[in-house]
Amino acid sequence: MEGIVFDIQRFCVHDGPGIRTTIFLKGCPLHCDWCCNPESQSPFPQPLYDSQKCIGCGSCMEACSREAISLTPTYKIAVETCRDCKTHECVKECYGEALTLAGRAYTVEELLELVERDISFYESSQGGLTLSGGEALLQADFAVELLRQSKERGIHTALETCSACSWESIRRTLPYVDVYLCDVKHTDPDKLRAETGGNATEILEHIAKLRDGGAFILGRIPVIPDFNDKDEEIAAIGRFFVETGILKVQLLAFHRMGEPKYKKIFKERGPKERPALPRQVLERGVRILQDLGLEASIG
Amino acid sequence: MKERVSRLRMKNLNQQPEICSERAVLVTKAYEEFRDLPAPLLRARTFEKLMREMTIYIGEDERIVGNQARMPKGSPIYPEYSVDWIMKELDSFDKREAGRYFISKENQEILRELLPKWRGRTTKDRALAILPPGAREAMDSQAFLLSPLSCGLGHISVNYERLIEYGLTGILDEIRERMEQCSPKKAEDVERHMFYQACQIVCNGMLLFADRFAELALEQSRQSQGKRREELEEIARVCKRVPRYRAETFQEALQSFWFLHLCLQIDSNGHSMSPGRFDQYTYRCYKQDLEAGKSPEELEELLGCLWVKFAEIGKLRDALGSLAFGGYPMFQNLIVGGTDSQGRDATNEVSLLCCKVTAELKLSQPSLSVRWHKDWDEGLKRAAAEVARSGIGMPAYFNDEVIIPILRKIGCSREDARNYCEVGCVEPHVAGKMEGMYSTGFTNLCKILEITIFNGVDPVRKQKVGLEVGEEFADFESFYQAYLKQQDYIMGIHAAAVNAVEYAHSTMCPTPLVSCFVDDCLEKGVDVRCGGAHYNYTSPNAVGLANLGDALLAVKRKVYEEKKFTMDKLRQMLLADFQGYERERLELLHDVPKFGNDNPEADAMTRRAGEDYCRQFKEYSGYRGASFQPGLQSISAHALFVGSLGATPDGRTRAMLVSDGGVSPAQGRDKKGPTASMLSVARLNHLEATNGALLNVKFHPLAVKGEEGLANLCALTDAFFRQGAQHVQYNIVDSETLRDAQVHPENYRDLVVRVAGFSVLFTTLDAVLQNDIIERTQHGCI
Repeated sequence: MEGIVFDIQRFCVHDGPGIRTTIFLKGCPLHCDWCCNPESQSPFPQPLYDSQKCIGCGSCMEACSREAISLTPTYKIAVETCRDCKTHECVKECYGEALTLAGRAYTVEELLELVERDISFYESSQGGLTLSGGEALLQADFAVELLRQSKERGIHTALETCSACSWESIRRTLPYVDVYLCDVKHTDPDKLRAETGGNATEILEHIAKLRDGGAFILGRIPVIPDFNDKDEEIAAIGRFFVETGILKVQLLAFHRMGEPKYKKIFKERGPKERPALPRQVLERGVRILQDLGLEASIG
Repeated sequence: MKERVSRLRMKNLNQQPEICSERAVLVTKAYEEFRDLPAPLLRARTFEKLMREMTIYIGEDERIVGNQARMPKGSPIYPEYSVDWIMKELDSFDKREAGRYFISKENQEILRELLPKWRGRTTKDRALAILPPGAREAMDSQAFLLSPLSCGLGHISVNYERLIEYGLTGILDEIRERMEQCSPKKAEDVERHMFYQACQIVCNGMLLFADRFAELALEQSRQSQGKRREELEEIARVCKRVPRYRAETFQEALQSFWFLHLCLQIDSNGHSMSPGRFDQYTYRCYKQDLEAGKSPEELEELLGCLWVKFAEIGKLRDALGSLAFGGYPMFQNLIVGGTDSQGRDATNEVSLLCCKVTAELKLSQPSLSVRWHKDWDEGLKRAAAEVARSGIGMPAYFNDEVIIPILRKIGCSREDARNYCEVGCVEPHVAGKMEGMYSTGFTNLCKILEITIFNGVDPVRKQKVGLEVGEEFADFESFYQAYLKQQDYIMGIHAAAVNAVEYAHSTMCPTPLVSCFVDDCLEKGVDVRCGGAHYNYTSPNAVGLANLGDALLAVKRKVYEEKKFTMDKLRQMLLADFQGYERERLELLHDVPKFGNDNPEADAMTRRAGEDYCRQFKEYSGYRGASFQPGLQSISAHALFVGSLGATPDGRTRAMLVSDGGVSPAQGRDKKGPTASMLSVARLNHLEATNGALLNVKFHPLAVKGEEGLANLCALTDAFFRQGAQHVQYNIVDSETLRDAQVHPENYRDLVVRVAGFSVLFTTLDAVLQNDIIERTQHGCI
């Protein structure tokens, strides 16, 4: 069985306990416009272009059998033309690593071999594997199999999910996940739909069911200016966590580090302009959540 | 931190390194006065004269006393080792970029007049006169660096415990007894008798020195009031007692230690004089003080006072040496924790206190190290991690489970191996029993590769330096064998050159002072420089191992397997420094796996090259009957080779530095995070690298934030060492801070960073090393 992975990061220390390897599966049901990994959204493999590293040799253009690449007037890849390309000769020919491929097919065995390399570090730190995305559960069969086999080999597992996928796909992971990292971006269905395309009612329902199923859940709130950074918005999410019995919550700060990536995948539009997020908002958020009885921190 | 220590610290940080001419004047006089004496007695009398006549002072706030030069951070001149470079650079010490020193007009004139008298009479002159054939060419091309040519040899941890426990009276008793057994009638006793005489003279010299401080303290106390008066009276009492007798209080132990540690560095300017297992030999007195009702805070203050003294020691280096050893380092390696001779954990309160004081003072000296083993003390584990997180690049972590077997392998007894310390950066050592000749120098591995590719010619200097090994090879294996042949040729010259240097030192500058504190010098009646030590080794080091491994794999893949380039084409590209061949360079750089990414093929190649280096060098034998014990550590010598080394087949252009540390992956090439790069490093043969294997890892502070961050840092070290690695040290400071410190050095005067086996003040480094530290792969929080 194969899954499409857009990144593998070792020594992750903020996605679950200890030292972890995080596998990012490609494809996402949401399209949050602040997304810092825009290449995670499409389920297809796609080249990322870094103009800083390009020496303009044109080898990629020569290698592309679909003629999707043009160097003038500016470097461009016709995204539609290359969408279902399987070979990505352009990336192979780019020795400068100006073109890299986001999205490669891996078998479960290949990934496990990679994950197990750091097993001594998991053992000394109580870390393990984190499955993330995109939304990992868009490739549910693959995700479940990877988690199942990891557990079989005694590896601690974490799953990061936006819960905007079928309940069935979430339910199937229950026996194989030690800790869930569940995002709640907003409790207001209209607002969430407008900015991410997600269904808040469904998402909250999934998280509650997951909790009822006995899952250990770490709640997470990405705090986004002009979207959910008002006290009452954070409080509303906090109340949901309290009601659901999720007591550990992290606030994640909005940042702009992903912005250059929009250009790299030739997205016409970058993320919406937003004001910076003052540190005080996060600190106040922590206090609001603490007042609700939650164990809150800045992640 | 106590206010007193804080004041002493600030004073030290604000002090500019300065050149002091006093020692040069006194030594010149001594060499005239005692010119008829043979070397051991000449050296002893010279030392005694220094003890008697050099200016001494007791600074405000000081509780541990003893100075190296007329001013704190003053660097004396040691003309007996070399003078050529001092004369040449006399007008530029205060102007150069790396390792700048203030020098007064007066001192400049004194030195200008006095130094020419030493021409032709230094150890350097003698060593140069007897260098083996081929050495000059190889050194001009920097195929190897003969680091000990211009100064004392240093690099030892002596038996401080003997002084603390028995005092100089105990040692003088032993000397006397042994002397009485010598008969001047027997020819073989002539030298021994002379050696004992020299030992007596230096011990008495030290007593004189301490007495002078006692008198000075008493004199100053008479002009002082209140608490300071009491302190000065106590200093006077302490200096009367130690180093003469066994120390009984913590202050006495520290003072006794400091007198010896200081005198070693007044006698000779070899760096890396290492305190060794300081927590072990000072603990008895610490405990006695606590039992007598003294407070831990007071004892901590004393330790703080001593730490500032460590930071006062200076050593003037030539322009080149200042680049190689950036930032005024002295490598005074002080190690805590570890096991006792029975294998039990030996951590005590002083171990923890050393960590605490180091983290609080954030000075670049002493170089704090900790010993790791499977069951090490949890408190020390945490204290060490706190020091690491403070961002000063300390402590260096050492793995008992690898280093003890290494020492066993090279012939040390089990008890001695368990009692190991570290000298300088990462040189395993048995304190008070070993002469390891750790300043043997550095092999420039990539240079040897370069002259192999160019058939014995250095393409940068266009001069023949190596063997003609051929231009075309049937396959990679033949090419690699040619490389090994070339390496062996250069090693042979290096080994002979080091032996020549040792001959010069042993005949001209023996070290009776060191010999009094190293077994079995007194027993044998032989100076440590002439083979008196119980264990004798000669320890060269390799620079640029990661680049060599990467380059070899690039040649294997692209020239012999894929046949993308011929050897001729490769030579052409290297000669052009890849100008006009950027795509080809990127292919070599990115289309061949690189060491440091947990890639078995790349790691195996680097391992093979490292192993072969160590094995080949072990075939040579050194002065003093020593065996060669090579290490994989480059200190900051990698910075020195920039410019003299052309482009290399790993896609490195001429302007780029080779890898730092020793076993660290090449800068920026380890792209899979610290776990992957550590696994690669652990795959090297650490048991073969008997003189140490050094890894620098750089972290962004956010990666180790909070309780979890601290736990993860500990876990990282634990897992790395369980894989069989020798050493690791962390630089935890973000690149933005370092960049800002380049622009606004005035705001970062106390920013300490790790260069290699040592930490220094960042702002005192030259731009090349500063940029190198910034460019080393930083493992962030993902």
